Amino acid sequence: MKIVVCLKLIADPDIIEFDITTEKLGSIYLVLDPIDYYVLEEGLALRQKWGGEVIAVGVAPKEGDEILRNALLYGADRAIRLWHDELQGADTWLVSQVIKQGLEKIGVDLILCGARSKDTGSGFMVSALAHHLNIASATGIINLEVGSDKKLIAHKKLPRGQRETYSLELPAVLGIEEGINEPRYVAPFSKTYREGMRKEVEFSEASLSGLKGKQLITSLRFTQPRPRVKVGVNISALSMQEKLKLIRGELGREKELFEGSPEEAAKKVFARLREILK
Amino acid sequence: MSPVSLTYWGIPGYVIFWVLFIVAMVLFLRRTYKLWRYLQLGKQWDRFDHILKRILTAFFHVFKQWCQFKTLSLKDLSGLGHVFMAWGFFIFVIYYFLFIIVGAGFGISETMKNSSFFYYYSWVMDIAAPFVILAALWGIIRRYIIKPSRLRGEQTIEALVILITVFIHPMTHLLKEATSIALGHLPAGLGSSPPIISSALSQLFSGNTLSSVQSANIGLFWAHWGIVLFVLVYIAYSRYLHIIAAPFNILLSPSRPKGALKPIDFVATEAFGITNINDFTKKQLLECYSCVVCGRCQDACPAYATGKPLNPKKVIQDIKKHLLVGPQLIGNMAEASAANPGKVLAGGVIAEDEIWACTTCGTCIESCPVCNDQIGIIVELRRKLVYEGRFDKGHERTLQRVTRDYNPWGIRWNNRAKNTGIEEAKKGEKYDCIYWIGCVASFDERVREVAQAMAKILKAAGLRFAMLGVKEKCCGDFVRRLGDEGLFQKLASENIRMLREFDFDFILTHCPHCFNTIKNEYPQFGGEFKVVHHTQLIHDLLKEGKIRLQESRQESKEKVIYHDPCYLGRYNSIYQEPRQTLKKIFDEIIEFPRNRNKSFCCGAGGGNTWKEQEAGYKMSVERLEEAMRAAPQILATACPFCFLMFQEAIQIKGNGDGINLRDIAEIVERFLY
Repeated sequence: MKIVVCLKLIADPDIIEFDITTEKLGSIYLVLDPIDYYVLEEGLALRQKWGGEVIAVGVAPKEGDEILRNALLYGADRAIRLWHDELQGADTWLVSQVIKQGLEKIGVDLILCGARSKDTGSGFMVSALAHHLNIASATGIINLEVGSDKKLIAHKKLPRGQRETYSLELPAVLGIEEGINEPRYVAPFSKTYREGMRKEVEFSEASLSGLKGKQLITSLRFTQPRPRVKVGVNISALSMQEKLKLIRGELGREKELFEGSPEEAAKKVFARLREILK
Repeated sequence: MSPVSLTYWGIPGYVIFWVLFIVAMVLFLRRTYKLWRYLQLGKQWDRFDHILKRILTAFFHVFKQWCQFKTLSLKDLSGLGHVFMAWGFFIFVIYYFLFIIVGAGFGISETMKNSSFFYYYSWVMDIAAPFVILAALWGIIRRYIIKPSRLRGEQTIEALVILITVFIHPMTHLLKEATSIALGHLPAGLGSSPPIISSALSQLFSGNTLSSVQSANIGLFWAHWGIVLFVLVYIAYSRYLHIIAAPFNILLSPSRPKGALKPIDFVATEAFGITNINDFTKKQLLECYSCVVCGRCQDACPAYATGKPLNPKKVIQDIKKHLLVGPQLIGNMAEASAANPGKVLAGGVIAEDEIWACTTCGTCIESCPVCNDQIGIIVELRRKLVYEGRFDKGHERTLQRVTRDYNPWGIRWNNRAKNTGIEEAKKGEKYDCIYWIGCVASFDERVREVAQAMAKILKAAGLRFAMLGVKEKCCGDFVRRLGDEGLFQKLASENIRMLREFDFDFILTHCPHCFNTIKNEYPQFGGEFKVVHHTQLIHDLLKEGKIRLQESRQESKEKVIYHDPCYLGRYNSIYQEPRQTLKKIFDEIIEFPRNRNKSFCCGAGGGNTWKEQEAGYKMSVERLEEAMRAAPQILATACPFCFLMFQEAIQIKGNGDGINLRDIAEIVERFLY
């Protein structure tokens, strides 16, 4: 069975430096989307059970080589990076077509990707791939079994612990949900790692002429949360009325608008705070 | 006339004497050679640096019987018996070697006998003999009648034979000499009075006929020599072997600092860890020969004491059994391994549960009289499991978290050391010290207060200090002890490269694990830094008057009990400084019954903090109960992991009788002038 696992390189949303004054992104740390650890593990686990090949695929600039190399070190049989410089900032629609291009030469039984990414989180990739490749798809998969005669039994995660079970015929693309498995750990220089060290990431340049449709979504800006003031409350000192307000989330909320230039407003804010805290 | 000069059934006594000797010698050498061949199954020896120092260390360890004195206590006097037996053995062996092998062998025994040296020597043997007899008798009573827990299941025939030979041998010597004296033979050597004890015993024969005393004398002579030769052979066939193996075992002990594990060279070696006998070093196999199954390591092991599957004595003995069957198994290693998938060491010898249960506390090594390195073996076995990708689930998740976020908690790395209030180090600035916060204080709110307290002390002392913030990565201590040397070396080299960018005199840390790893292990990768533990610094600052304590303190009346962390005490010998500091504050410091180098592990080391809990109960609870029996008000620690463990234990025990858990830095900061 040829299993393709799609890996996405993202800017770690937890660790972004953002300058509020210039509204410019500072350092970003490119990492593997956290959900893809589960995706890769699912591919490796399936290979262990039913044999075959695990091929890691990523659409990324050369920084993406690292996550693909890690996939090899964790036991993937092949890793392929697809890219064209003009793909910078491309959306799901275009990227899914690039992946289709890359997979044409391979001949795939099963494609696994994350149900949704941690950065854009549209959850669209599964449907887009299914459309371009004209194959079956299901997303939000929390459990996977391969039945006899190449039929897939996929369990979809629904709210509040419910599950729906599907049977799919291969080839198919599945959106893998977090928690489907426990990703393994491969220690540096261990047996699997050493085997991975002997492999190379393959590169294939995408052909833009084959891509249909224009970019539908462009990112305008990224904003971080405004600083919030937290009020410390001594619960034992509250009156009954105040305690009720606290439970309803109404305690300590006062809205005041301070007008003026930044310096004037700041002075007013400080004066008011000093009053309150006296 | 010595019985050896007589003729027996036409054969001269001398001939019988030497023939018996040669036969025993052949049996002994044959077996020893076979055991030597088995040793050759291992990898290199690799420890002959500083050979003179090694020889002297081993010599004094053995002849001073430090092997016994290091574990001797008023509660456990068994080592004293061995001291007598060992010295008795040395005394008699020297006699046999000098006066029989050399003297008789080279025909100079007459000259040697006519010396006052020989006279005094015979007195020495005479006085030593009763001590050995009593020691052996006590040994038999202890092992077979009293049966202490350490010797549970060790009431073996082999041990009985050994103890009986030790018991009978000096008796035959004394009685032989007694009959000689009764026969009116001159005292040995140049001197007037025969040795005192044999003389007293000779009275026993005063009523007997001359010929019966002569027969007794002859019989005792040959019985004595027979036992000597039997022991010679038995050395190669029993745990007597430690007589030869242990001195070499001690001589080949690692010269690395105690807290430093052996690195793996990933360029030179493809696979790592111990799969089968060939992967042990010869020194490690020698440890199997040196082990006398005394059970001190088993008694001391905190994992064993709290019901975990690990028993360090069993680990060594399992390897020994496997080694002695080894040569026959070599051809079938693969089959044996396939038949026993859950067990490491092809042949199915040591279970994974046992290997992961170790906290690397070091009590086994500390208490071992022959200086075995049980932890070295366990770490190598863990390395093999890591190589094969076999982990305890808890450990596996933790290693993933360290890989991604450089800390075992899995909290995003950009949150490290937030809100400590300590200045972040800048390149180009000169600092007295870099305060290494470590993974616990960086992410745990309660332990962060320890770092903040220490920062106040540093400020009061006027030291220019800073922390590394998010640039600091996990020091890698537990990663290495779990057997993941690859991740450890990655963390170490990244930390070293980062540290080199700053200008400072020393690195300060409140965590003994970081202290041990950066001080003793980072030099293996080119990171040579001066590292100071906060208890050392506080002690020095108080001594130099750079910080002062308040004069009168109500709290001085409180009773404080101090717990020695494994990695501060046993591994780095820092016992005094925390105590002296506490003595400056409190009137009374209570000691745990198991204190200093016998301190009982809190259970956090070796990655055990993150292990999936399985058998037995928590070591921290055991230790807290030990503390509570002394009814202290304060439990003082010097390690953030001990702190976490005791916090948990106090919750489990339901408030622990109101015991207050404090780090030494917090105690000192509270009483800063």
